[in-house]
Amino acid sequence: MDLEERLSLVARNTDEIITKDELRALLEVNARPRAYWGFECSG
Amino acid sequence: MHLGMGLICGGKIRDMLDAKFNFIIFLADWHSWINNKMGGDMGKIKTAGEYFKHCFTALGIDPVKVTYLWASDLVKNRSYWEKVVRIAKGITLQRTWRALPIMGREMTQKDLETAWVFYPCMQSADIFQMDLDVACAGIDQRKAHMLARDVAEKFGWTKPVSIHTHLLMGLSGLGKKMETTFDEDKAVDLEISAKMSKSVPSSAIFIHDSPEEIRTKLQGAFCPPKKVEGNPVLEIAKYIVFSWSKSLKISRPPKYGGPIEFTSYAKLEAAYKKSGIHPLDLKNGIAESLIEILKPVREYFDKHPEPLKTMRRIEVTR
Repeated sequence: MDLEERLSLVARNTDEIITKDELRALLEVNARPRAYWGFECSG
Repeated sequence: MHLGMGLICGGKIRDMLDAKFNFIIFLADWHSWINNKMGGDMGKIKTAGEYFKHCFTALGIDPVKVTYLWASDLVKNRSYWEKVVRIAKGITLQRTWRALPIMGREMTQKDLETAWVFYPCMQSADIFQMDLDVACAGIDQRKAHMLARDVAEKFGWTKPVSIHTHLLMGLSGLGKKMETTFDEDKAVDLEISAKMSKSVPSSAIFIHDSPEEIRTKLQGAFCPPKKVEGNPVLEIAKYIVFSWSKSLKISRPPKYGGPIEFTSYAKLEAAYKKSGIHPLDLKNGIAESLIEILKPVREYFDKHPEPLKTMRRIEVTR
């Protein structure tokens, strides 16, 4: 999967990315960047 | 778990895993306690967290590929609390207060619990404790991420790239425009106040709803003809159907045009604006599409009914 494919997969259907330039720079150097999604546990 | 959390968040998590991210799903049990979820009962909060794990697995997020962490895991570390204090010393009380919307509370809310000001500091500390490059969330969390980015700048820590997804609106649409204070940006404020929420059950479709329930709820959904803005049914098409399926099939009797298939949201929207599709037909098409998308979830809970049964037993709407 090339950079552009990764970028569009991450960016699709999002309301905003802060910032897209930083995301691109991250994907250029990092094959396995660390990300998370936090959820309150309330069913 | 409702459609927004399961299919928009779940869909984005799936995308991130496909894009080769090392992904953590963080179950914020301590934050839930602070925010009085499940009546502040930690046992029930843990049960809800375990139920979420089952939901994500049911949605196709491989528990081997994703990492689950609890806030309980982080709070064991002295270094975590040191970060919380450092962050708390780096921001004003007013700024922390204005971040209340991340807890689902308006900025103007009075009668705050002191513990609520720990929450934004903890959410920021979480990001740095887990050594993250990217933080993902619904757009109602943006203040937490802006805070984390400012703090990172201040202390020379890694600034998290922030990815914010859309908040799916409740099935009744935007409703009356009441003045709310979730965000200074009016569009974001409206998105937050109109979101699908299990505390308003009629507004929400749950990922394990039966086909009949899904059809009934969609029948009752607000869906103005030709209008795109404020149309929850089209929103489901935009953010869910085309993210989880290759196309949207709408079956219609021949006298109303016969069956039609859309391969992109743009084409669907264009047709809907020109009255090419009747709201009732759209609702039926979306219902059938959701039923298909959510089939693996129903199958999963048929095989593993316990987590869902337990969750329903302890269910509270906040």
